[in-house]
Amino acid sequence: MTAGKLLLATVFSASAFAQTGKPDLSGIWQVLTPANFDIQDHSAQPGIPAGQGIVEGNTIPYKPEALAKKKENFRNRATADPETKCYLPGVPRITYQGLPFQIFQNSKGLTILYEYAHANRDIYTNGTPHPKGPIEWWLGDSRGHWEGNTLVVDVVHFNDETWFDQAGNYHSEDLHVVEKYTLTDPDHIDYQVTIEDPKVFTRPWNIDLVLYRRKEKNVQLLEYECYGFDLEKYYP
Amino acid sequence: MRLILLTALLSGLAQAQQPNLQGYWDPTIGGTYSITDPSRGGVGKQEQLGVARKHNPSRVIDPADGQIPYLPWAREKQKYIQANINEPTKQEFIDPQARCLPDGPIRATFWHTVKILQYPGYVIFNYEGNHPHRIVPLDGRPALGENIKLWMGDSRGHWEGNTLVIDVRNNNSKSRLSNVGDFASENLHIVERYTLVDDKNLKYQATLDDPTVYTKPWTIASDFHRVHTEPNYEQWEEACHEGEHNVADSLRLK
Repeated sequence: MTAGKLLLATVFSASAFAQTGKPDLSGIWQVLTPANFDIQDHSAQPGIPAGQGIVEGNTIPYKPEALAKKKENFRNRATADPETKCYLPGVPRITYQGLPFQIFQNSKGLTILYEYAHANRDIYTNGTPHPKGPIEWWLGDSRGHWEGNTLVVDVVHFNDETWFDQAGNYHSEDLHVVEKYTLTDPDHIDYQVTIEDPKVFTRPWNIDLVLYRRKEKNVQLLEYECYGFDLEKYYP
Repeated sequence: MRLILLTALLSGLAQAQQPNLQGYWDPTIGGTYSITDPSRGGVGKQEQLGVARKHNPSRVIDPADGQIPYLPWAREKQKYIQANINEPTKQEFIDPQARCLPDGPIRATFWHTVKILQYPGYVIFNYEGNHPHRIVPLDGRPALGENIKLWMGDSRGHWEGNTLVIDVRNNNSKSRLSNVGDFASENLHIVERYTLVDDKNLKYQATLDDPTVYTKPWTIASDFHRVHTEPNYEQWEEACHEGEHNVADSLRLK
C-alpha cells in the first residue's frame, strides 16, 4: 500500500465532521429537577427535596390493578427500587436520575455516555428500524430522526424490571418511549417524553423537563460506579 | 478576529484529518487470564483438571524476559491472590471482573471487542465487556485533580502522525490487570500508543509505570485487527452486573 493510498484509507473524509445541518446537542448536560425521587408532585421528606412533578397534569393514568401495584412498590421502595441494586435504570429515568451525561453527535448519529455506571446509548439516525423483537434490554433500543430542529428518539425493547423513580412508578416490557430533544438556546434542551404501555396505563402520558448545559471551566464526565455490596471491606 | 477564525479553521482541519480508528477491534490473542501467558478464561479449571493447553507468548515486551518487574512484596501479593483465585474461600479472592466491576483501561482492552468512536475533539472507547467507556479529549486540557481516582482512569490524548498517544492517570487500580492477580496501585501512570498500520490493522503498546509496585516501567504490546466490518453492524446492550450470579454461586459452594 502506498503512502498516498494509506492516507486515503485512513484519513477521515472531511464530510464526516461537516456541519450536519442540525442543531448540535454535543456537550455535558444535567437536570435540576429532583424527579428521580418522585416524578409527581411531592413534599419534602428527610433527605428528599420537595419537587414539582415532571408529569404533564401530574396524573399518571394507571389501570386500577396497576395503581395497586404502584402503591405496593411505594411501600417496598427502600429495597424494591431497582436503583438500590445498581441496575441500569431504563429510559427516560437515566436522563433525570441526577448525574451528568455527555452527548456526542455527528452526521451518522449520536452517542450518549452517562456518568452513572458507565451506561451508554447509541442513537442511530441512519434510518434503520428497530431490530425484530422480542428483545428485553435495560435501556431499550433507540432509533432517532429529526423533525425540524427536534431530535425524536423512538425507544422500544425494554424489560419490566426498571422503575421511573424511587416512588415506585413502573411499567411493563411493552413500554414504548418517544423522547424529543429540542435545543431552545445554546445551553438548554427541552426534553419531552411520551410514555405508552397499554398493559399498565389507560392512555399515553407525557413528561416535560429541561436539560441544562454544564459550563464550569474544564468540566468533564467522571464516574459513578454503582455496586450493591461492601466493596471497600473486601477490596481495600 | 481573523486570527481566531484562522485558528478555528486549522483546528477543524486537524480534527478532520484524524486517522480513522472508528469501528470494532479485537487483539490477535484475546483474553485477560494472564498477561505473561495470555489466554481466554476457564484456564484455571483446565489446570485443575490437568487439561493440556496451548501457551501463548507474553504480552510483555519490556523487560526482555517477558515478566512483570514486581517489587518483592508485590510479587508475593500477586502469587497469594493467584493461589486462591480458583477456589475462593473469601470474598476478596474473587476477581473483581467476576463481579462486573470495570476492568481498568488495560484489561478492558483485551477482554471483549473494543469499539472506537471519533467525534470532533474526542476519541471514545466503548468496551463491550461490562460496557465501561473512556472519553479521551484531544484538546490539550489540563490534567484532572490528582485526588479524583477513577476505575477507567483519566485520559488525555494527542496524535503523533498515525499514532494516538494517550496518557492515563488518576487510576483507582481497584480492578486487577489479569485473572491471576496482577495489579497496580493508585500511582499507576499508563502511556498507551495506538498505531494504525493500515485500515484493518492496529498496533497497541502500553507502558505501565508505578514505582510503588514495580522495580521499573514495563511495556506490553499486541496487534489488533478490525472485526464486524459489515456496514450496519451494531454493538447491542451488554448488561453484566444485572444478571451476575457467579459470586453468590461460588461462595455458596464452599
